[in-house]
Amino acid sequence: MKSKEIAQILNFQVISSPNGDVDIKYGIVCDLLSFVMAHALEDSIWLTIQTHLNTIAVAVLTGIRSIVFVSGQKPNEETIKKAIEEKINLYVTEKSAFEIAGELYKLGIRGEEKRL
Amino acid sequence: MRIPKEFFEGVKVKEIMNTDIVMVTPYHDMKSIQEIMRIKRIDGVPVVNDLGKIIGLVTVENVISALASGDLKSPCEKYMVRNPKYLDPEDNLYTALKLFRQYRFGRFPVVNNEGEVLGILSTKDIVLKLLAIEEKEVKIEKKSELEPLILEYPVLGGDFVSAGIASSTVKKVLQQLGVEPSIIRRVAIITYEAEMNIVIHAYRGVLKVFLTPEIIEIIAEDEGPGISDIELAMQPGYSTAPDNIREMGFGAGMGLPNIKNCSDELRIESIVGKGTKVISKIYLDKK
Repeated sequence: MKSKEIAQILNFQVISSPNGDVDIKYGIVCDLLSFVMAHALEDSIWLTIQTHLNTIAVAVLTGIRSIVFVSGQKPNEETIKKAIEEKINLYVTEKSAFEIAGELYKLGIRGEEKRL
Repeated sequence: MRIPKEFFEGVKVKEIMNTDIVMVTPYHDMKSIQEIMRIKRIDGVPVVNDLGKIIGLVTVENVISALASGDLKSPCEKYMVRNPKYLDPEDNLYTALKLFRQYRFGRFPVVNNEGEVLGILSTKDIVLKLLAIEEKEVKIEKKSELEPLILEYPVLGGDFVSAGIASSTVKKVLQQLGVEPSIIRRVAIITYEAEMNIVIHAYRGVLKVFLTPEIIEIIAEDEGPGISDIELAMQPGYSTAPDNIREMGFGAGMGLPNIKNCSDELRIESIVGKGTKVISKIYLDKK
């Protein structure tokens, strides 16, 4: 499913959408960056409360296409700027990671951990 | 690939012929010759007389004839090619290829002046010889064309704003070079964790990536507090990161274990009060 379609259906606030047409295949929920580094799959959507700039680096390195800042967390200007530069879609939602993960699962997005 | 005539003329038949041959006498039955061919994976067996001189050649075609007639028990004398065409060991490959073209045979015995069989030259031997040249050429090209590529980035301790830029750049370069995605992923994890270690723990450092067709070597060297117990630091979950850094999602004690999981070879050198050097290697030719 396209990232922008997911955002629309789940009512995300769109912060940046430089690559809204990208096809999202997997999802990951985690706030530990090293864990995300080791386990996220390409073409994933990532639910996190971490909003700082380094989340973009993690997304670029793992092939995460979209980040959803959950529980009302908002990214700063630097993070948004970098996300647009690196073509990472950013969304904000008031709902918790648990709620959003459930919704994504209903849409057919699955979590598959990378086995190294 | 076009091979010049001079190349073929420079190769002697005796250099590429198959010398691992089996010779039989005219009384050997076709059945046993069929077995010899199967086991030795050859398609021609020279037939010699009591003095060891060649008098014939049993080919796979002869075996088929005998098989078709249900006559495998007959002596090979009945089916063999008599007075077969042969090559001299000193003949060159060009002469041999002309003979192959003229007679359309799959193989020729190689016979010296005394009529003794020294080997057999089949089209298979020639193909293998050509393949050996091709491989040699490719190897030479690779060595001369690709010098090790070195990427080098300074990393500043405490600089969470630029953190991750070095490893992102490495990833992009490897993508442009067409490195396999699974390898890129491993390099990305190693460089990211090594870079973050410098940002979190050290004052300053350098991230270097050396790339050759055989190996990717990642070296992260820093000036910092060093690691007093490397074995302990390697344990998943062990971290010395302060709370404010943990709150950012770092310092979960996963950095070094992640690096280790992605490396084929990992070495860590550290002097307390001076700094740390992490050397990680990924082999590319390993399938």
